[in-house]
Amino acid sequence: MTALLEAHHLRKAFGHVVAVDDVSLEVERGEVVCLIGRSGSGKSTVLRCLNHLDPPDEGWVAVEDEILGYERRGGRLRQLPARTLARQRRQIGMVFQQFNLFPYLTATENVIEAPIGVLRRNRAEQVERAHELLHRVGLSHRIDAYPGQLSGGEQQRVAIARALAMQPKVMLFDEPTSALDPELVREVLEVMQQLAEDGMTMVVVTHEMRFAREVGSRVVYLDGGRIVEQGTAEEVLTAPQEERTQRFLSRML
Amino acid sequence: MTSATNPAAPDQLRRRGRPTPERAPATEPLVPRRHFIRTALAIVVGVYLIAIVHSLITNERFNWPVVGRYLFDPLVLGGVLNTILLTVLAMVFGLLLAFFVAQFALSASRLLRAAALVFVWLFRSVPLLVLLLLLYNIGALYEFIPVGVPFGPAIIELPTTGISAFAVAVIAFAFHEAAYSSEIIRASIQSVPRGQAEAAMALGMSGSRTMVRIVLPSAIRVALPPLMNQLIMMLKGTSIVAFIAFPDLLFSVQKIYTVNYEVMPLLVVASIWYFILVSTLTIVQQLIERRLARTTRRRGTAAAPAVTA
Repeated sequence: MTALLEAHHLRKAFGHVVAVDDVSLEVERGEVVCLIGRSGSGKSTVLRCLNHLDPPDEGWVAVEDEILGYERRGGRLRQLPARTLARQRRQIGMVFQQFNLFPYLTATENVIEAPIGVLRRNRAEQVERAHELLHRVGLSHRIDAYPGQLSGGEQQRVAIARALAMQPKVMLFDEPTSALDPELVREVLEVMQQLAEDGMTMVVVTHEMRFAREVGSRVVYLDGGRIVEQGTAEEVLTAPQEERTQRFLSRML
Repeated sequence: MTSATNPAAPDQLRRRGRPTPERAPATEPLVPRRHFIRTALAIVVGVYLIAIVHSLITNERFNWPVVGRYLFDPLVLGGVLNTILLTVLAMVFGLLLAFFVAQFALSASRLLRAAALVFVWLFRSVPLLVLLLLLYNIGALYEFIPVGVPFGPAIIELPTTGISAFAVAVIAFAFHEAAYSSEIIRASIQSVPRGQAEAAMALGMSGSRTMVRIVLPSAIRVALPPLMNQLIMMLKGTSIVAFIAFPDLLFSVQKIYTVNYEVMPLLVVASIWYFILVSTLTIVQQLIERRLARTTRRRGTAAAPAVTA
């Protein structure tokens, strides 16, 4: 069986700055891949390329062998209409550093917006499901709160529930705890750990080395838009082979 | 010290509408400063206001009985209706056009962006009155306006000679409104954090759905006050259609006072109607804003009582 998510020779430049330089990645079902590296190493851009929020300039991304946004025809990749990409994106959940909840919708409304509007599901059924999901992230008592009434940690957990509501095959996390006060980081990491234990496939950009070590099944170290080193959490974090990885880790600990 | 011997402190609290705590003050009472200049200024302004109202009542040249007689004159009421009709139509077409111009201005295509830029530049540069007169006399430039393929066959040809003052006014005001409002709409869309749209796209929403369900609800809260400002300015601005003899509110009272020479009372009649129309719009604006603010207002209060599932 092929990988659930495959990135093939991705390259992405912003003007003259090459943010992602020839990055290939395969993520198997149930794997938790942690992308680590200094800020500006391109790890967030790699993640954003995975669901084409930043469409790659070269290379492609495939979910279960279906290439995102393009089709192979006559030895070329031809771009598909935007609605095809929108449909494909439903399989990929994403959680942002800044939460990005919809500010004028309650927690429940945030969660049901896409299932009802995009998948045309039944409202009453989705409200019930949203309450289950919010319960799962420990927010049963906040179902009718607006984002502005929630703490950062609570907002991020609503954002996780919102992404899960689309029943994605893989979840992308873009520094999910970087905007949080230190005492709120744990509640979000616990939800993510639970998710990993339930078998969710995840790609996580993070600075939380403990999370990477305890939850990550694979750790990928990036620098200058390239993958420098990857392996199990034990291999990369405890006995890094590359000098750059060693220097980065010695500064982090 | 007990509160009975020191009535000042609880009294102050009561005046600000807070619940009066039944307890002795823990420390000396706080005495607010007196603002002599502010008080004096208020008295002066008050006296001037009374003087203005007094002159309105006592100056016979206002001729209030004539004002009263013509306030509900059928000709004046017809003018009021025409002004409303013109404003509403120009607003509807103007806002529709403005939305599309704003979308052009935000397009990825450089040519579409340039087209939006030229449109705004053109219709903001030409004074409304000049635009009105140009369009009214468009027959001198084009006898027919062909609708169809440019340089190719026309499906219909609209004659410009018999064009009514009303149609000219609606078109002129709609274009003028569109140029200004498109900038308001563009800026309000840009004011919505990019993350909102990104979150929606990441959930698999289409571009148009993201715009309608996620971006516009946030943008409208920013755009509403300046758009209403724009609408109020246009409502009053419609009075210049009197130049092309369209019987709006101003033109109607002009028709009356050229016959009976009661110029001032009839201009007061027009002012009263404009005042009523603008006040109505202001109230409508406040109602809409209060409705839109509901979710933001609830933010501050609902944190305390925990909602149980």
